[in-house]
Amino acid sequence: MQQQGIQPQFKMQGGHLIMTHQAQTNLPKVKDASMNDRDRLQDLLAQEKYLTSGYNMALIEASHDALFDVIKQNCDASYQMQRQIFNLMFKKGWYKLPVADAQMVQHTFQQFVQYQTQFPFPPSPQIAQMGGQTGGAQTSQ
Amino acid sequence: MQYQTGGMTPLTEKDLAYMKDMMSWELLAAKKAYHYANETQDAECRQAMFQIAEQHQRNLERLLMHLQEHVNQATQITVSGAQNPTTVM
Repeated sequence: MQQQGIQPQFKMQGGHLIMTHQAQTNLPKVKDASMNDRDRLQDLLAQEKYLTSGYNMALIEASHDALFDVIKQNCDASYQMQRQIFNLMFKKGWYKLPVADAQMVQHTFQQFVQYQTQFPFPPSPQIAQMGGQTGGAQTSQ
Repeated sequence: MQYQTGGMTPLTEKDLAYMKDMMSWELLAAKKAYHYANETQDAECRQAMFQIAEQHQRNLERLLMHLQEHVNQATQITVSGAQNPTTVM
């Protein structure tokens, strides 16, 4: 919807690589018991999560197609708003997300490439090629 | 049981219970986002909150319009064993 093209920034913090965005917030320096903008958006975000999970139940239990379609549209709108709120909060610098360790990403990738021997259908050519590349002997399952 | 007129499939009890729930959620969501929008001093937050409030109102309206279709297309059915036709929506 909006807040497209936010460039994340990276910094080290406590031995972890953190992905965040330059804070440009108007939060009070000394926080008190009153709600600030971050609290408000956090609450709206939690509300969207609650709505989408509620809509999900309603969706899969709807008795006829016209009702299903109405619920589906509202559910999609709610997903969009969830995204919008998250993007805004990220832009405000209220999210600090630890980046996954590159070796662990690589490990998980190889593990599941090797699992292609367990696929019920022949793997797609691109996937089969990956198996040739990793050539790993260590199967862990 | 048979349909006397060609109406839409009636809402089940569960459908109606969900409709009530969904409309209540959307109303609260719209009111809350609107309330927050009026509280915040940050222009960007305010704009996003107003948008969200309005979208929730539109969602509520969509549910209400669907419900209205059911109300407008009330259908008379005859239930076997019953003496008089029954209305379903």
